Amino acid sequence: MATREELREALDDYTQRAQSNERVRKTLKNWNSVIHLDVTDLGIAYTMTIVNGELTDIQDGAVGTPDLIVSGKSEDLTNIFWGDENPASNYMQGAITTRGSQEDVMRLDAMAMLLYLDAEKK
Amino acid sequence: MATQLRRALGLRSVVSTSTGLAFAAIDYLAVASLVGGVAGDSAWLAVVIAGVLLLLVWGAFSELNGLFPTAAAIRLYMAKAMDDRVALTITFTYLLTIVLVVAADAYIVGSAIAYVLGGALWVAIVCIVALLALATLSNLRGIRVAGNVQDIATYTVLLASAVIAIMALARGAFALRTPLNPVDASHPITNLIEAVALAIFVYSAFEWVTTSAEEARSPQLIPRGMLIALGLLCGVCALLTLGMSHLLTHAQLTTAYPQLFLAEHAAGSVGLFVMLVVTMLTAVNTFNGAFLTASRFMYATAREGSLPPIFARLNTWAAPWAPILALGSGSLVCAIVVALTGAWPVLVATGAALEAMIYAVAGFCVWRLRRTAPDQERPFRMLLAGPLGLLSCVLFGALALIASVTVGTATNPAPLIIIVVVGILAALYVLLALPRIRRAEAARRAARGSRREAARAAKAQAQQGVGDSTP
Repeated sequence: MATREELREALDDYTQRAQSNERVRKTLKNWNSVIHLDVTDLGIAYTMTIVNGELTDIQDGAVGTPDLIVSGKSEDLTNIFWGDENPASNYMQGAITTRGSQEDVMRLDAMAMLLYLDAEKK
Repeated sequence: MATQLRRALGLRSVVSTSTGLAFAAIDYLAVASLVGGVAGDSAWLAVVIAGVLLLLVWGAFSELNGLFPTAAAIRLYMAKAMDDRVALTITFTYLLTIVLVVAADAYIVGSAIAYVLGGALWVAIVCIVALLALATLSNLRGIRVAGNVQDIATYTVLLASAVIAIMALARGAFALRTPLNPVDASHPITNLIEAVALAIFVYSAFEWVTTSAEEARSPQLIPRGMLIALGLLCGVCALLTLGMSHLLTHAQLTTAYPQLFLAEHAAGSVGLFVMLVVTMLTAVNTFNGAFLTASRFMYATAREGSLPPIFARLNTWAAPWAPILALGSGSLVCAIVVALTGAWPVLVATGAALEAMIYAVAGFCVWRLRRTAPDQERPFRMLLAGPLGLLSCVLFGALALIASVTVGTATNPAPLIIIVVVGILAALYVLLALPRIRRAEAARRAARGSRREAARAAKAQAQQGVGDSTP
């Protein structure tokens, strides 16, 4: 189980990479979404806000009405946001669950994939 | 109380999604192909019997949907109930159904337009190419039919089909020939069983709505919506069967557009044009639902590492272009082959066999998971799941076999050969190519290392540095 601080660190790293990634912004340019991350074993939540394909910030707590809710354990989510685990594999194995449109799920996964591929090139 | 989503599917949309995915243009042909094998005007009984049997499937998918309320459910419950390689082989073979349904719809709509325009085969082929190109391009551009438009299209198609069937029957003063006696001296009971096996096809894909479980306002809406959809499909298809069996000639029943003749009987040339529009509307739902469901599933399967990585590439409209192109080109080849050969009954039989196969698998999974995961929470519990799950497996397995060797009213192994060839190709891919893809991905990940560990080490080093420099 990851700690709250470890997860926050992973989310900050993810936000920084997403904001500086031109390819993410270009591919997801028309995507606007409010995503709640529900960390089941820590009993906490975060809110990711995406405006025109840009991840503006990740706030503490469940803020506003979500388009998508992603639920999972802290360890899985921390590894996913560090880019160490494949979110699609976790999803296909039932380790993380979602509620919301499949288009939002695919775009969120695509964001993680593009960041992963770019990190691999560097 | 669970957090509510900004946009979520209500019961109306769940019903329209389930019904719309099932009610494709090929249903008109499937219904027409039931008529020849059964005595008098009683082919509708095959539709009703299949509908009653489908209640087993409804129970199975409702339980599986409750266990795994996700678009990836088919991967989850099959992988947990059987060897993953077998599960993947079945899943990839099943994807053929989607190609067949899209191809069939393109062929039927193309042929119907060509008929109304008085055109020849080449007009139909041009229409098929244009329709599939339009569907592929709009999917590549990430254009989706809005939920409300889909609802309106589905309910319009159902209502118009039912009204046309009733009007056609009224023209014949509802004077039906032996509507309750499907078996006579020239129509043995085996013909009725074959008709029931083919009638499964008119309901096929009603269960695809389970892939929208994450979008539903409440998980209970999916079983309820599927049940209503089964009722609607049963009613409309039974009416169409009655109308066609009573009014159409053998030559009309064996064309690619029997629904146009039925509509002409009901309301003359106005009816003909209305039915042409209705047929085109069915394609909107089929193309939208099939392309979207299949391409997103292939994308997720590629991301999971079970298909080559190219299937997980997105274009600038955030659409997975390789799955969309694969579906579009596969359907185009299939539709043109059918247009040139007129072998649409093979499509119906192959589709019916594949659907019955997946229904048998669902029954098996329910039975197996009740044994291996008896304590897992089940929001929907299938009644007598153990025996009925097994019965469903055996029954639909047998119907799959019957459908795979029955084309129209004749015995023909073509569907079985197609399914076996695709199944062997899928198995070869799973056994030979997939391990290589997975090894390559694992090597890439291992070479990259863990960013979390690297960050942790850097932090520890920084703290060590601070500690060392502290006097």
